[in-house]
Amino acid sequence: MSASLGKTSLDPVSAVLTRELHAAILNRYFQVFCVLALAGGIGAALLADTPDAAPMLILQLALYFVSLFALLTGTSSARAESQEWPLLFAQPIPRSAFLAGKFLALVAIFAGVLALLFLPALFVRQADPAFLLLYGHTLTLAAGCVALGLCAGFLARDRVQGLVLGVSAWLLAILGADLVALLAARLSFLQRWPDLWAVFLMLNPLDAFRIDALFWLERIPAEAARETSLTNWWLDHTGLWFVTISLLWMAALLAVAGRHLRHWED
Amino acid sequence: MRLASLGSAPVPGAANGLSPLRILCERSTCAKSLLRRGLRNQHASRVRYPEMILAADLIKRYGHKEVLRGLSLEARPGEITILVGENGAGKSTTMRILAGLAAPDGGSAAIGGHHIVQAKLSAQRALSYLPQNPDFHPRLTCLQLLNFYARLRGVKKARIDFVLKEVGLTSVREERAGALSGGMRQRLGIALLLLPDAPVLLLDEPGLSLDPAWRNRLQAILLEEAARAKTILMATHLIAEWNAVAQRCLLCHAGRIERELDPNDLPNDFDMLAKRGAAAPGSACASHAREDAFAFTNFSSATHVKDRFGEAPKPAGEGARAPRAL
Repeated sequence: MSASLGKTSLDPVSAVLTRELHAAILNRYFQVFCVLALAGGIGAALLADTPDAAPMLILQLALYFVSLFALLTGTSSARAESQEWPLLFAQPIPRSAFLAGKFLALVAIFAGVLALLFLPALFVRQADPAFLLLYGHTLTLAAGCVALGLCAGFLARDRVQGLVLGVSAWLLAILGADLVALLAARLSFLQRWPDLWAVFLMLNPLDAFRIDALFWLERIPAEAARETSLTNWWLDHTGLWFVTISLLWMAALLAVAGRHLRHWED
Repeated sequence: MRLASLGSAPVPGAANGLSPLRILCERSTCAKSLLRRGLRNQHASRVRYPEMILAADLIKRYGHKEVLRGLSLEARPGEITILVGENGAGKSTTMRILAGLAAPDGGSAAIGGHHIVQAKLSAQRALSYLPQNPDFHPRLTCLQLLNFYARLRGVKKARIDFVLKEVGLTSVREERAGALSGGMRQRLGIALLLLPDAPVLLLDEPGLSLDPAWRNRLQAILLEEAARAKTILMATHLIAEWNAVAQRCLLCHAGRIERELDPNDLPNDFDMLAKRGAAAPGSACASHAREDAFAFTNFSSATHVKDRFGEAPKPAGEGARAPRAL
């Protein structure tokens, strides 16, 4: 009985997942992303002077290109059938199942498409654990940005507003937070709390990804930064922290989107 | 409990302090088994069943604007009930509340005995809804959309072919929804309405994008569905087209059901309806209005439905008749 109940509760999610896969194949954002990801992957493989340089190039692509496309895909997907919501939400499925199906489908699609970015590098280097971990973390980053895009798309009144909201949040995360930190660093009294800086960076998944890659993948000596116990702990567990903070952000963003959808009225 | 007495009988348990919702749910168990029997009955339309759609004292506000002001109605299996009224009367809002797309600010509504707010998914399982101007994911084909909704509702794939044939879209099944004309989208919406074979059908202005031939076909489809003991509630302002097709016609005005009209003598437009309602005594229009009054008014859907939810009925006014026997 529990098996049949489980099947019933997963049916709407898998139905939405299949629908999203069908729609994504014809999504222009996605088609462009696939071409650029493959071109980026080939470029990283060709331009790398040494085998170890390829992941560093891929890291830059992941940070600035994958994250932005994941966000745009999420927003586009959220708004794609907004005109169909009256029909869709009159069906006996929880609206959270609709959101969960969309999110899982987009993450599954990114898992496949990111292979286009990573596979060409395997012609110049081996698939060692560090490289596989970079793939995993890039996928986590993409999932976080998909969640941000879905949240922006569902909160907005139309596609344009969703894109403006999503891209603004992305710019804030990738540039704005660091800019604020840079300006705040001029205030001498703030320098007395180094943990404040660490927390500020730790809470931003894009910064957590950047720090993780720099201190783990690049193996930069980090002794200079080990001033407090918090930074010590973070630098010892950058990967774990990145995945944790990303999952927390994803849960929060999907919860906000789900709450908004639950209260949406035609 | 005799079938014929279900409609007008005092609500059992009301005197014992049972909540209206519980009374309704107890009724629904009976209603469902009756409905199952009814669907097998070839002469289903001759049998009277309890209401599948009940709404009592619905209130809905958008900001400071009160769109529904205590609207009450009921609809029974085997009947096509149409909700008519001018723009802004509250028809579409009522349909959206009944479909679970908007929550009422006051009052109660139930579909098949399931409260539309407290047991929304159960209520939605019993209904199928066609919104005004249905629109779809532009990149998906008709077949992909029907497959998706069939999976959501647990419908077998064989029914997809049947509904496509019913609405004449078999030849465009592989076309993307974004490439369909307005009328074709409406017909795809009708296909999705029929797909789950739900006992309650809600339609909001279904004829607006259809040409006359397809509007006639829609009427024929709905009559067939009603003959299969479906409960059909439809909002429209194309009043005259439904002359002698619908079994009941409720006039919605300013967020309330104002009165019930003779479904066999529906006027062409609302001006005529207003003239009838406000005609001087002795005039032909007044005679129509009196006939309406004699046969249907004081329908007092409100009074009657409140009674079903457990409240005492209001006394009928002078010259009023008791609610139509069920």
